[in-house]
Amino acid sequence: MAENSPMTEAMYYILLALLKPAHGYGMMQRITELSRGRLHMGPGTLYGVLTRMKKDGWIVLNSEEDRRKTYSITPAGKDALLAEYERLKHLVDDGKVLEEEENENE
Amino acid sequence: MKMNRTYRFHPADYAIGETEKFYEDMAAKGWQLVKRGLYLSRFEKAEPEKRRYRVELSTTSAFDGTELPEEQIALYEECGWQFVTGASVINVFTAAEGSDAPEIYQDSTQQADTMKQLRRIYRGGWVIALIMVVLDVLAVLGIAGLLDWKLAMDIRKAWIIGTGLVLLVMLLYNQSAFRLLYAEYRIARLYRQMKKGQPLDHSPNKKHWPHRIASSLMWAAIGVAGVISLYQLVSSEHYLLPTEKEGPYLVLADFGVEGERKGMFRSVEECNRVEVSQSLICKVWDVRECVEDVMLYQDIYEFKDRETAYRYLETIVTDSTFADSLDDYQLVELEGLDLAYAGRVDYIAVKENYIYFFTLADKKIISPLEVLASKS
Repeated sequence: MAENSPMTEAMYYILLALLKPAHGYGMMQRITELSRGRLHMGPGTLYGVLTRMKKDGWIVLNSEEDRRKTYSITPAGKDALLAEYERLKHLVDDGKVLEEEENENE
Repeated sequence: MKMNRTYRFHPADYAIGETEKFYEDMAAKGWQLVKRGLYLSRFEKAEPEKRRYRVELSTTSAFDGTELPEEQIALYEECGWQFVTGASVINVFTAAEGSDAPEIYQDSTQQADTMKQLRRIYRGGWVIALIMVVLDVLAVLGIAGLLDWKLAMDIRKAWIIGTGLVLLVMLLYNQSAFRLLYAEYRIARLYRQMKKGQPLDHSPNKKHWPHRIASSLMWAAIGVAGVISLYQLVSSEHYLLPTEKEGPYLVLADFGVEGERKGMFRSVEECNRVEVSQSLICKVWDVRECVEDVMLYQDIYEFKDRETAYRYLETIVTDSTFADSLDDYQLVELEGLDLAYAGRVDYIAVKENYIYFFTLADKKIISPLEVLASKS
């Protein structure tokens, strides 16, 4: 995963969810909340992304009881998330011209 | 007795959507998946129920163990996907229809990445398929007599005495080659589609008729060849060489060799026996006889006509102890035989629709060719 390539939506929301340590199912519930019910992330998607991000050092295993593993975001993960947030904000800001145009048309 | 379990052949590993639909259809008919093997799945009787089934692929090799990580299974189960069974890279999860278990993947490109190990298993299948096809072509050329390589000749020889079995092996090769190529094609196509963002079809309706027909025809042919092989196997027999001969072969008494039956390097029974077998092309008597210190081997082939006998003569010569072809033999003119050749220890004769092949090391006694000619 190149550091500066755009994140997928799944990655972005998982990192957001992991600002507080969480286990898999908790993450999915939080993602649904964060997206205000828009996103229902599947376990396959979640598991795949977690595996990748663990390898990249963006998240870390916090604790493990029974089969349930709790993860949290690492500083590197947080940097990446912030960078992505900035990038998205720029995208939205740049898109403002669209609203201006719409207003003119009215 | 009412059966409460059943077995079915399931779709191949590469047919992921078909596999899911297959298990769903079975559940709807009241058969719930219990265990998946390599080719068969086991089901137990249950109330007919609409269930969703999903296949999750293992990404590790059989060497490392194809079981899914516990963490992954735990995660899926927390989301309402119950793990049922797995075999090779296929793992099956299920959830009741209408449950709130979310679809396992939202992103088909990500799911495509899980095909890594499945693709690896079938990768290079075409190489094996190619080898099989080459062997088949070699066999066909050998059987047609267009090749005189040792291997081709051996295949031709096997074809003469065991037509059904050779046919069966060739057809199985063909079928395997076809299956491998088709699997590789299907996997490549599915991978390409998912990589492009086209989600996996969980209940595909495509019937793949050309493939089905081709496949059924191949299996039918294999069945026929199997029946022929079985018939050949059942109809072949072997027994102790009787004192009164009951076949077209000679006995050492015809040579004037009288005495006690002996065993040379092997038991008396093994050195004095007749094996009769029948193929689609000929009937063969394989006879061994050992009296005192004289050992006589005979293979007598009965063809449907003289032309066929002539056609296969060159192939039968390859059985010679010290010769590769008829060039190494001396032509012998003998009344009563259509063709006769003498080698160092082997003798070959054609008489009507029969080919006689003798091996006799003892030079002190009369040539089998002369004995045979005198009997005509």
